[in-house]
Amino acid sequence: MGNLELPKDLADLEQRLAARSMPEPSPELRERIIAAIRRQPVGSPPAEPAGIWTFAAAAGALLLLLLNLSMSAANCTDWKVWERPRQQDVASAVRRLREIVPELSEQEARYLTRAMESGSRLVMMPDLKRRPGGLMEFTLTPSASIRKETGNGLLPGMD
Amino acid sequence: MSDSSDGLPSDQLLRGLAEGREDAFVELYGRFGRRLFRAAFAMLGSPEDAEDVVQEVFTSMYRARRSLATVRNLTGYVFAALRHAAGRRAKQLRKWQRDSVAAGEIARGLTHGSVSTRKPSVLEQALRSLPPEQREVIALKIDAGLTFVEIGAALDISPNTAASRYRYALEKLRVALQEEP
Repeated sequence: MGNLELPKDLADLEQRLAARSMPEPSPELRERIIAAIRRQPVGSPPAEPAGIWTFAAAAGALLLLLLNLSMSAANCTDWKVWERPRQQDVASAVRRLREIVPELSEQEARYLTRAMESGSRLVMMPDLKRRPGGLMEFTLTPSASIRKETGNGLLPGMD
Repeated sequence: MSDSSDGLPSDQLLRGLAEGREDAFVELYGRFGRRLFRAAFAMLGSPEDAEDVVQEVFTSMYRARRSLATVRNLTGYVFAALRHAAGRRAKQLRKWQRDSVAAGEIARGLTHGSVSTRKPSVLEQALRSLPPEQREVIALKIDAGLTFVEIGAALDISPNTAASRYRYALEKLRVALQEEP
């Protein structure tokens, strides 16, 4: 990228600038500069090696960066802590529930097991549709897995 | 204008500079001295200031010579050093003038006699009315003969930005000249 396409008036101005009178450096400047360089201390270390503090600062900055990144990654990672319980756990819970309350049907016990398992994951939220102004009213919505398990999320016989 | 237009190739020159060899600095002066002076004069408006700034560029490069071994673009490096040195000198001059207008004139009169005796042309006056960043791009392009790539390296901007800044500077200069009585 050496040249620029310029309109004629700007190109003329460019030529005028290039042709304007400019002073030249004095003939002594070269010798003056060489003499100034000779006066500089020869053995001085011009580029100092990075000291221990520079290294410590760089290491600290790197550590902070890594901490920050790892915390960000941890916050954004789904650790699958709330994975669905295994089928044998559900079956065991249903069996124990029916032992305690024998009058529960298999379907009711399964529903209650699912409800207990997912209850801790439910988020309290206002039911704005049901009652205008009822911001203090909260409802627990059955999870998708419960609805899938029971058909409509209601206990058998409640619909 | 390439780094290695004459004399040693750039890598050999850089090695010589990094070793602090006098002949390398002489070569460096031969390659850049006049262009540095012209650009410094265009930035500062005084030949004496320009010479001081060019000397400062060379002595600062000598002091930092060991780091020169890692320089990739010698032209960009040299003119970036010039820009910083000219900026420091301009700041000094402004401070002197601010401290005392009279004292500043005496100081400039003592050290820069040419400023008081040499009346700037209309073109130079218009140039000095430009913002510093536009003035320096004109100085580097026209007076130092750098390409936009080299100007970009010296000013730490892209070549396209350097080219558009140059064009804006010319347009502003044209307007300033048209407004002249």
